[in-house]
Amino acid sequence: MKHKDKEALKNAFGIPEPLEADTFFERPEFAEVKEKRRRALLFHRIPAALRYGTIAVAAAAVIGVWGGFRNWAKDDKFPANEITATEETNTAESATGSEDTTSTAPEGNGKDITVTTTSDGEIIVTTVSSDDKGNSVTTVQTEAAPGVTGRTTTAAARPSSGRTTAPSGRTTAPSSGRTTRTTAVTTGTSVIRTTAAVKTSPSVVTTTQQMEEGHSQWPVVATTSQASKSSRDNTVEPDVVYDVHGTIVDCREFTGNAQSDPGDKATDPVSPMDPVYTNTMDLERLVYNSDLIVSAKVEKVIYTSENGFPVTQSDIVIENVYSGGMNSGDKISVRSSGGYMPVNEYEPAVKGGFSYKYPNAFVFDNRNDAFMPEEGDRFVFFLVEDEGIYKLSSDNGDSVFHSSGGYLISESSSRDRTTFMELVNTIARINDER
Amino acid sequence: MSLDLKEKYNKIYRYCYLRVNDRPTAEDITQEAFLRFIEHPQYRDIDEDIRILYTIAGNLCKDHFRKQTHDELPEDIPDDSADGEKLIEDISLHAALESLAPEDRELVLLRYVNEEPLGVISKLLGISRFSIDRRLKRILASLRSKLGKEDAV
Repeated sequence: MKHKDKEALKNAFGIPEPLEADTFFERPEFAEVKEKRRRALLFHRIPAALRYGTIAVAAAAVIGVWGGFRNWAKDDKFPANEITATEETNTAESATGSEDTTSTAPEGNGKDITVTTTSDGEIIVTTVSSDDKGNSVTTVQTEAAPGVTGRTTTAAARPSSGRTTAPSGRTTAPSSGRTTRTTAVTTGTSVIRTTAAVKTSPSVVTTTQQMEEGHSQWPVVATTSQASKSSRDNTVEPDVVYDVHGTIVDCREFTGNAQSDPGDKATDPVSPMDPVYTNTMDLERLVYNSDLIVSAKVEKVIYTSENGFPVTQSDIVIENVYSGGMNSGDKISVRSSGGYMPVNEYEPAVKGGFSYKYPNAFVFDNRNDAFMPEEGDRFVFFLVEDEGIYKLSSDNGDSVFHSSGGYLISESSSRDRTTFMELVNTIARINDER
Repeated sequence: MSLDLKEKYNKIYRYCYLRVNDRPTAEDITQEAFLRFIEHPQYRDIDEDIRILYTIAGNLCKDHFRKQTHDELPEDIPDDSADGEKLIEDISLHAALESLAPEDRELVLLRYVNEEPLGVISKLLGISRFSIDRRLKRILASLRSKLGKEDAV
């Protein structure tokens, strides 16, 4: 459209010129509103990322300060758990109470162990070692005889100048002979962190739980070196993991083999009147053939398969090590034959041509006394290592024991049982022979 | 005051006058629109988005008519003929514009008098630029037919 046509249209509308177009923007009320708005917009002119980032940093700082204050207040609230440096000395010291015998022996790995037996029958084990950073780690372990009340322990720290004392760290041992442990870490002459581990040590907590659950015979043996090392996660991820659901078909549908007698399983109630049946030769063979003997808690159960047969992987958290090169708190994967897998991958079903009958079903195979764990279960495992993965020594429930009624009972047969004492003696005997 | 700001004022004023057909009211609404625009949450710079100014002004015009329907009719109805500044050179074109629908008249004002880009009108009216272009062509053809001459617009 031409300019003259636009002018013609503009005139045709007949709109008169405004009277205040020149003066309106000069008015003070307009300038005032504009200035007020300009000041308000200063905040909005800051980039949004910077605005929200600043808010986030401020919130994090507040949370951090609050968290630090709470930790400080908490530490201050329980001074009994603090071990503070009091003076410098060159001697490792086990303090108050009459003592019958004291023996000190340096270990080959740089640790000094002092064992003190008091007249009350109380045993105090003081271990001094160095961690990876060169810090001195002192552990005081007190084992009180039943019915005996524990007493104040004193932890001595090295190198040869930093002494740490627990002024109010009185540990009371219950009549069941509870084990307590305190740990101090020092650098040079000053204590950098001295918190009694009685409340926080995982092994001690575990011990307490087991006592409460009635496993009075549950073996609790944790060395100082195990406690001082950090836990390792050695679990592995299987190539295939099955989410078991829907229809479950028994393996006998395809194999025709009878399963082991369910009445023979270890879940049978154990009568205290039953005679102790310990096949010494089998236990020796089991210990001899095992790379690792531990008590552990099953943290996770995974169903997988190998070569067309189901395999159950148990990721376990080691609680006590009786034989082998692991530490308490370490996690490992244990694989055992038996479990669940899809029918259309199950070799007997595929070979027999029956897989089409159950297109979406899972087969359950627990033949040969298969070990079928559940999450949260606790067992003593006899294991062999195979390229980072642990397997049961006998690949069935023979090499897994649970504790009941003071016995360690085989998972494959409740008639196969032993005692912790027998197990420890056997391990010691085998180790001596080796 | 910048020329650009005055030009914006004139555009909004014309837009309002077309709706209310009364100069003082159109100016009041125009000024109120500018003040609300400054207080608008999306306001950054008065030289920016004129579309928001049109929207505010349009809403104020609607409010004006809504208020009028509730109030009694004023005794002195604005008389355009009394406005000495209103000069209509082409009576026939004026009559042709008056015969258009209000929406079409507003569209002609925005595009050819206020010379707003199609993009601004598109966002203001909520219809596509192609649709606006087609509507404008249709309106111009209608005006031509009413004027009876090809070179009128």
